[in-house]
Amino acid sequence: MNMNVLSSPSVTRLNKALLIAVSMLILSLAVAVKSYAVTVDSSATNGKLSTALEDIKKQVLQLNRDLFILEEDLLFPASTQIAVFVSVDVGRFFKVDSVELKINNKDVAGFLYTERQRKSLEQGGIQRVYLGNLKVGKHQLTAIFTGLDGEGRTTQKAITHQFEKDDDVVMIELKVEDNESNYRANISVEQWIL
Amino acid sequence: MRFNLASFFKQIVKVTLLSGMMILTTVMPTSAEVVEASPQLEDKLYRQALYFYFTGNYGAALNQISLNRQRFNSQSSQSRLFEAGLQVTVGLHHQARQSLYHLQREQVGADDVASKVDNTQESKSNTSPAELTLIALLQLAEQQIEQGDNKTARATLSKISQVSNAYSDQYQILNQLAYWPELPVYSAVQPEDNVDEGLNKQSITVAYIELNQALLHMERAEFELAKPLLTKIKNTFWQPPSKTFWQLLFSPFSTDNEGGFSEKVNDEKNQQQAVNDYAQLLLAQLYVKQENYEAAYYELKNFPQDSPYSESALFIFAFSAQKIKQNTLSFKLFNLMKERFPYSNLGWQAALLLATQVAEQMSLEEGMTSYQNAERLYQQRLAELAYFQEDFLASDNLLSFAPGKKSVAMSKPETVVANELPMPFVSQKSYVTDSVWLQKALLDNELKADYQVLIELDSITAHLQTQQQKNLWLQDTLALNSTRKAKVFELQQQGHYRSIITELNAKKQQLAKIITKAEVEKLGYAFANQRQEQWLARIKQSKQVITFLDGNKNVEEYKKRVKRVEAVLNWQLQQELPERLWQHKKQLKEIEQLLVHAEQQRKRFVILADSASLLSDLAGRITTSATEIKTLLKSTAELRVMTSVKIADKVQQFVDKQRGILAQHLLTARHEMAAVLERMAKYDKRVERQLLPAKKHTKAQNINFNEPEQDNTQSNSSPDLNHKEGF
Repeated sequence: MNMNVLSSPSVTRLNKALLIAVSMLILSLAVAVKSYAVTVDSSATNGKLSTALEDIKKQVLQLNRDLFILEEDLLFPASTQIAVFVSVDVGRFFKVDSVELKINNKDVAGFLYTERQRKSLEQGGIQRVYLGNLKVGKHQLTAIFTGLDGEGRTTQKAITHQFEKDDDVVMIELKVEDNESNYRANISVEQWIL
Repeated sequence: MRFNLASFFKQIVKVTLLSGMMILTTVMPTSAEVVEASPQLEDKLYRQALYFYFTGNYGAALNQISLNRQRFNSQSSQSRLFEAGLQVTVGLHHQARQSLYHLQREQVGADDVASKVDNTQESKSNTSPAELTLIALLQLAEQQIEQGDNKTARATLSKISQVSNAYSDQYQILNQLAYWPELPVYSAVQPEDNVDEGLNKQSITVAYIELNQALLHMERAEFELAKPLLTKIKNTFWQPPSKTFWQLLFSPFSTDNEGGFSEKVNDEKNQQQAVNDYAQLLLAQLYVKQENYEAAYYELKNFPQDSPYSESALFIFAFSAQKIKQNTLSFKLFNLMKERFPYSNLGWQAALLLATQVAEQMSLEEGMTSYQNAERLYQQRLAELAYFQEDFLASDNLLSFAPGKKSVAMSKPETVVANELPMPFVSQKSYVTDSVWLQKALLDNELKADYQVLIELDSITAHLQTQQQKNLWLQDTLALNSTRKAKVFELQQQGHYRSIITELNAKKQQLAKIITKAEVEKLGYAFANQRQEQWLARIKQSKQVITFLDGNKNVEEYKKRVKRVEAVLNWQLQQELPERLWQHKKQLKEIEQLLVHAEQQRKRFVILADSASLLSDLAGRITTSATEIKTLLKSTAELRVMTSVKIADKVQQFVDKQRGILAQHLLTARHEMAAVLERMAKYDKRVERQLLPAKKHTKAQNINFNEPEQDNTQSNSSPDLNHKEGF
């Protein structure tokens, strides 16, 4: 009776470890099972295919980027472009549920956050919540945030920001920041300097 | 001399707005210009990519990084490392290797500078570039190993020159895996074992290293070295390793940052249990190799039923039970094994072992039946295998061959919202099939990776088709814009804005002259209001009447009165002159500004109107994209065909191998059946001899003398048909 572990070592992560280990543990009994594996040098084919796949992926990525830029250039030229971003600093005193945006008292965007999106913001991500066009001149941005405060009550926080649109892109960040002194969150506005 | 500023003002505003409106409707691709990002802006751009990453949209995160570089020349080492991590995640290994290589080179330079500046700095921060690069290389090697590309993994690992304590375990494991079954070669300087450094001796990564080490010892028949290791592993409570953000980033589909607490705890518990079970199983196997069946039996007596290794454990347990004459148990276990794992090699072997046991311990007839059952099992499997092979090779689309009812979703991204890019590369599903043979074949990592490639290619094709639609939509939008632009130009031609602006400028200059003159000569009436103008008109009228009447009538009194009224009015106008002069000057300035603005817009409009290349540039880009999409779709289709051929080849090899194993088992079963038949014949002869009359006894003895006394293969287990063990 011959009991061999025709195996390679266990692997690092559980799921993969289980799959591989089980398949590895082939015990040959009663008969000395011959190796029927056809010895084919597949590494060359593997290399070729993986290179080709990577090449395609790379090109698709470039294509994606080019089309994205093309779309922006066509629909949101810099001379009229306005982008509004949302970020959260810590988020202990205010859990963002949704945000509504108004420009010159007109509703332009609204976003309802999922748990994962909210966490993404709390982990330091910045979300572009609106991209649009505005003519040159003075404008007013109003943002209304709805969420839960530190004690779990539904709360709304609003902010108004006056800005002037010129020939450059306007990028405005709405920051939900925890205020340690009063255990509340504040909304502040930062206009990005390009 | 007098003028109406209000109407003049309105006219200028109208010109400005119209001009502005026209500018808005004109395409201005100035956003394509590259703006150099400040460190603060760079951080914000990087955090935009982070948002996509955290929501699980890796493709969009990678795209964002690429966009940041394209638009803002954002090139921070942090974002480049992040990009490398994402490249690893989406399977762009070659690009990731290149990015990491460049980062390493830069880092060497930076480290040299840093060491000159501060030699006292002994420990680096947790997120120092060197450490991040190390993490990236380790994770890249891990992915390469998972894809069965150990050669490349070795090359990747050889690029690591130094490993800190925190990553030493992972480095060792990966080397063990990459070099298996040879001894690992460590290229990096590893830290000396230092307890104070906080290396967790109970970490599950240590268990993996020791398990691999024990396996290596077993391979080399160094059982006494393997035994203590396995005993320790199976009795230790291992703790899960903690992972940093960067480690998670480079681990695609990692669920560590998702799911709830209970899910995480369960996962850790399972992992702990799996390590203990595996060590226990290997220990039992070690005992079997040493022919210490009793130890193996007791080792597996309490093996958990729901362990992922229950199949192997059950087999070894049954085998050990058979060896130590626990016949009833081994009979039941082999039966169970055969029923529960009808497609497993162990199940097939169990059928043979079961038949052998029946033949030896029950009766030859029953043994024969049992061997026939085993033979039927192999024949049935062979027939199924042939059917599977035929069916599989005839399949046009390998992914549609016996697809599973539900595919396993991996890291699911959030719903893609407007202006976000979908992720075409990170396939969210793994291939699941209902075909048991294919399931078995998919235990091969390379084949599994090939199926994943097929899924990715389909995903890319679908993405490219969407992009094709989008490109067409952009083409239509551009056509609409061109028409609109033509209309706007036509409107502009009709508007004669240049002459209007020139005329307004002339009027403005005239007004400026009037105001200057009024200021110099103190002409208060220049700024008279409506009421005062009426008064001035009446005075003028009265004077004309007095002149007409003069000589005919005594008008001295009238003259005095008019003069008095005129003097009062003049006095009023002079009083209000400074204030009105200031107001008019202010308004004139505003008009000046508006006219300048209108002129600027008109000029911009003219420039845009003259440069026809703007739209043609966009049209050119759209055409290029369309060509690229077509080429990519073609390449993807070709690659899909190649991958399908490769998969078919591998499945063919798998089928051949399984057929070989089954044929071997069938042959063995038939050999054993022949042996049983032979023994049955001998027994029959013996019985016959016993029943022969006494006169033939001598002859029978002679015959018996020529036959071997016992079959050597059945030395200790010659079947006693009268003796039946109760099962």
